[in-house]
Amino acid sequence: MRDRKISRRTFLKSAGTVAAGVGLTGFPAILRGAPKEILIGAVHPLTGLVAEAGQMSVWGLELAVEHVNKAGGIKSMGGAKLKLLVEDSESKNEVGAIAAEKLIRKEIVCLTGAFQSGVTMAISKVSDRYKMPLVVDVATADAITQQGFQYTFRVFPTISSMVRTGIQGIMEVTDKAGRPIKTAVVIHISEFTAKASFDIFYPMCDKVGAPWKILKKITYPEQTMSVASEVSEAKVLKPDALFINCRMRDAIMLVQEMYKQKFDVDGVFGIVGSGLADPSFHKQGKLSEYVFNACPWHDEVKPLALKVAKEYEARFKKPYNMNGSHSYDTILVIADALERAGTGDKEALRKALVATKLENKTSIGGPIKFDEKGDNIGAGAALVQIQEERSKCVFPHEFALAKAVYPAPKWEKRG
Amino acid sequence: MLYLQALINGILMGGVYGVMALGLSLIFGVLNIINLAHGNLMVIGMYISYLLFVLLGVDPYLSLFVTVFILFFIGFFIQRFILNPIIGAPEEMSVLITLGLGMVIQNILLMTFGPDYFTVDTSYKLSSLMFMGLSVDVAKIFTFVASLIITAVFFSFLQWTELGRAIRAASNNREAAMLMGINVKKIYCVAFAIGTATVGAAGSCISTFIPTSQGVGILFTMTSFVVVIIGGVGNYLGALAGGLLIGIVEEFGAVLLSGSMKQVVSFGLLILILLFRPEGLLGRKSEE
Repeated sequence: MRDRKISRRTFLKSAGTVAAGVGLTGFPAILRGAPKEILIGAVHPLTGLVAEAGQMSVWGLELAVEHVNKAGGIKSMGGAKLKLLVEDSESKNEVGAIAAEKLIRKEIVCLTGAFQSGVTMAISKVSDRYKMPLVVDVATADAITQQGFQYTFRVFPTISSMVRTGIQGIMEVTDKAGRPIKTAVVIHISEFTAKASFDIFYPMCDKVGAPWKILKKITYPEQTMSVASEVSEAKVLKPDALFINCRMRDAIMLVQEMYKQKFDVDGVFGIVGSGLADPSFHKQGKLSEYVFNACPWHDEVKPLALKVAKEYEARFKKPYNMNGSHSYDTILVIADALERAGTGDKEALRKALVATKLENKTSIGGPIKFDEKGDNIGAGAALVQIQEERSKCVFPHEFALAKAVYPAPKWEKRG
Repeated sequence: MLYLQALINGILMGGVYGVMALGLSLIFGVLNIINLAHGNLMVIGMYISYLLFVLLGVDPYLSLFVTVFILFFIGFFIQRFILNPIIGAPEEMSVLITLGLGMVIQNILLMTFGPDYFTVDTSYKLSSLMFMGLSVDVAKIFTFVASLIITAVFFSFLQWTELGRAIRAASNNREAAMLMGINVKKIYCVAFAIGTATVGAAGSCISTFIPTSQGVGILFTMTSFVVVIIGGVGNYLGALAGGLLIGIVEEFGAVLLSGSMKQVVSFGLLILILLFRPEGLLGRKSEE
């Protein structure tokens, strides 16, 4: 075998490859150049009965990621940009849990989600097992932060704070109108969050000194095809007011049935009724007009909130509401924590999250600060009323934009 | 008084359930196909009616004819290319295929129309007749009447036309029908198409009062299966009877028991029927 002469071409090719190899492995800063991306995972319902709401949350997350990146990314990590990975929970607990596992395997630094309390409980068990920080953007059940998990935080207010503010708001609105509520009927879906809301509502009414008497508690399954009998049941009792908790689909059927059966009440009050916040419910015109809701809300007063709301509505053609704003703020919280931690390491991030105090945000309430359970003690709630197909805050005063209309005009007067 | 209202609500809802289940009854009973895409096909019908109403102002009870036409061809296509290849295979195959088909339909609808809910806002959408303090929903009365008419049309078709006889023969005994010169594959396509056409009609009927979006199909499928099994598989009167029974039982269940028991009552009834009369109320033990 004669020796093979190395041609010039071969020599240059191999030298180049070796140089590149050495560069990539030995001197990463020189050759990698741009900082890598920081992955954030999100699990939300993009299909199923609450797909509209899930989508609006995801838009909030995406908008915030864009804004953070435009402002220079995470400066303490070399200007690294955030990247959002979204998985569909399909509104099912098991699918959400699998989605969370999938995202964790893709090496995210933080997880968020999941709108439905049941799904959120499921993903929190997964994230805690992997010691992955989870910052819940939207989910109300108190139980989520009562599992003793060190890595779970929540930006959304708890049901207790929303119910308390709601009751106070309702009492004030009805007192001001000179017509305190004497009798009421409760109607809600037999689902985790709705049940949790009312389990807190009943004793809270007594604690706060609410004047009304609950005549009947009517529940129905979320998948029902009709709420005709439920409305008939409430109608025969002739209550002053209704306290409800529905998803949007059945909320629409509820107000339609009330109209069809000519069932008038002084006021319909949603107690943490997420379905009442959805745009499709607002578009029901005279049917959904004057319906109240005790719920979290977005800030409609401060400049940052107004700016973000304007961009969100122009881009996505849907109103900036409680879901979008808390999702937006969650990215701000995560970005802020990453900035202080200076690393994507899970334990360092967790410590940084614990020390969070975020004032500049788009949801109402005080600065975002987590207690020892992971709940946001600054989280606020409001009583809003649908007026002219838009929900307007009527209580508390520092965030109120409109005056409440109570009692609501009867059906025949609404045309 | 409340019970009388519950009875009225139940009968009207029964008409709704009946019309929803008619198409399934034909497909399940005659073709032995477990069509899990049933609800999603109905949602297609509802979207068609919605579009025709919003774009051209056509009332859903008129656009019903368009929906029937379009869903007929969709059904023919599905049977011809997706389900005919598995004739003779175990019935469980149809479960898997139609389940997948349902998901494809749901996601196409999601991509095309988004997740928003809609109803067809006709002038009579919110009308009700009031007498003696009882209210009767006008839109549901129309649907009830429609379900009776569709059942009558169906029944006469299957009983008295040549094609109807061929369909019944093919469902009874496929080999014998082939020996008699019946093109069984084509008959199956027509039968499935008629089934989906009925489903489309049902969708048009209910579009004014059941808020719909891509995710609702599964609810319609579940309800329809319960109705068909209770009422009697393959018996179109059975679909109506089953629908009425479930409608009344559910509305009374809501009033007498706590609200969430509503579905427990109808599924409980399903279990009882399966235990003691598995052919359903009006079903016959063997198709004669």
